[in-house]
Amino acid sequence: MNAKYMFALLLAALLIVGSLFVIGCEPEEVVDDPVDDPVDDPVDDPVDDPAIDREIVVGSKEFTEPLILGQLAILALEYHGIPTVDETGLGGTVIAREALERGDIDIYWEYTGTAWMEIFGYDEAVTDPEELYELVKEEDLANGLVWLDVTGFNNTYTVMMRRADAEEWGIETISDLAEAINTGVEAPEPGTWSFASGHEYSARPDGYLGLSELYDFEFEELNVMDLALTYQALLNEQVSTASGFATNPEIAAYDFVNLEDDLLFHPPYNCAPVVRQDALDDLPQIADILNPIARALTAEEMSGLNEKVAFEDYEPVEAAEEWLIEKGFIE
Amino acid sequence: MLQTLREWLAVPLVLAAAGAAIVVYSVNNPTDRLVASYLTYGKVMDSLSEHLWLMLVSMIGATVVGVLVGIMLSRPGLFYIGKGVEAIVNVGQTVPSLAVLALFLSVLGLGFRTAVFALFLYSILPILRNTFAGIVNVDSSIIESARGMGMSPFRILTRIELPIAYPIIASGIRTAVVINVGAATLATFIGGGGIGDLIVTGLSLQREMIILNGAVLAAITAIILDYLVARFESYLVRWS
Repeated sequence: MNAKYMFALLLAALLIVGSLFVIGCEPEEVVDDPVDDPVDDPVDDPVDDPAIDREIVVGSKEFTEPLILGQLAILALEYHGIPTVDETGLGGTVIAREALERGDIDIYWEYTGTAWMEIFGYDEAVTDPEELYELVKEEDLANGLVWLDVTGFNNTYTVMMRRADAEEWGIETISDLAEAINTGVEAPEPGTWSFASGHEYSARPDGYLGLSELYDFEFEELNVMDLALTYQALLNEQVSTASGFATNPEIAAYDFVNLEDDLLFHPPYNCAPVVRQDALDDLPQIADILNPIARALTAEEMSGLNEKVAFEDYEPVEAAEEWLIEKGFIE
Repeated sequence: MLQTLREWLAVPLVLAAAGAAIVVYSVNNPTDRLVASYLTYGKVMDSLSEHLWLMLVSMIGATVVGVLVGIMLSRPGLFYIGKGVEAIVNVGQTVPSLAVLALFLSVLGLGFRTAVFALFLYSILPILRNTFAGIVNVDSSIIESARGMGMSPFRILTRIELPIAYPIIASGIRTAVVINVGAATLATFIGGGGIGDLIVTGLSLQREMIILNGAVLAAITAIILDYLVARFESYLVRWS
């Protein structure tokens, strides 16, 4: 009985405190009229610091490089006093892009080539990096999305071989590879000209389909698997060639070579932060914070960052922080 | 005979026709060039046959091994080991199928064989568990009286225990088939092929038509197989 009484008392107390809270909150919304009490409410006035009202939600796709890029943006924005929300790691292009369009996130880093082919749905690749960037930037302005400055690196698709094989077979370019296959040269381990590829690359016009058309060859065997496993498949000699990305850390770590794309097939994939116009209107300084960072990211810098996360046990945020401090963007 | 055949095949044929209609429609009316270049009859048939092979090999293996091990563990001498194995199996079932694939990826490498092996292990679980539970739960007084009539343990197993436990064993196999169709779509991640090729490629290309074809084929395969196994089950019950 005693417990019941206590409970009732507690409930009553809660009710009273709750209603006080509600009542107490009310005037804050009502006091809008500056004439009312001009001296007494500097605290409620948000004009002092516009950043406080607006949180910038930073997203990214879910592989190493975008994760690091996302952390770079978060750390830099936070350093300049802009509150951020970390929504990095949003699956693939589709998910990140839709989140940005819906306004669930305010920023994520996108690749020019991906935007052109995959998001805008153009079939014809643009091979000049700068031209492509301008085209993509212009197209997205109509969508209320702003492309900030583009990175120095070009993380495009690459065809890889094990270095020892490439040297022994004398293959340096994709043309060399096509010739070897077409003239019936015996393949390195596992003995067929097989190609490990992610799902996307295997079926895209700017992927294997277009590549085999331009260079006029076809692999004897196409092994489609998760994107991240192609390096391992090549390393374990389960395929003789594999597709990958040019700035990926595995290439150096596993001693692969990128075959030179001598006919310039692969479209440029430079990266830039894409920001919602409304976020940029609220906080125009975002552009000044992120632009120098993007410009400083050369292929070397980026693959260095990637390797730290992939092979040296760094978290993306740690690698990003170390790099930003090293380059003097934050302290 | 014709009557039975019609009964057996009517539902699967209707479903297969519906699936074929969707595939034919999609191949002939692709939404854009990307879909047209990817979604061909050859590609669809390849994925489907790879998928069926993945399932067939892993299911046959799992059924044989699962039922035999289940029977073995239900023998009186092994009963407590059986209880232990059942507990492990129950835990094993909660491991996501993608994790099972990933686990064997590091041991067996990429490709079809790894996918088959992982599916095989994953499908054993419900079959083994149901076989064990079905036999162990046969009323002991029935076994007593069979023994009293002078039946040998082997005859008790084949004449009493298995027929009584049969519906439970069969439902374990059906569960395994349905799990297997679903899990087999994940084989594509490790280069094992199958209908998952269509689904994952469709997702990464952002083309609903390809995803739809993959999803419909996987669903229809699951329904047809479940139906056939259920039919086979009731057929066996009548026969036994």
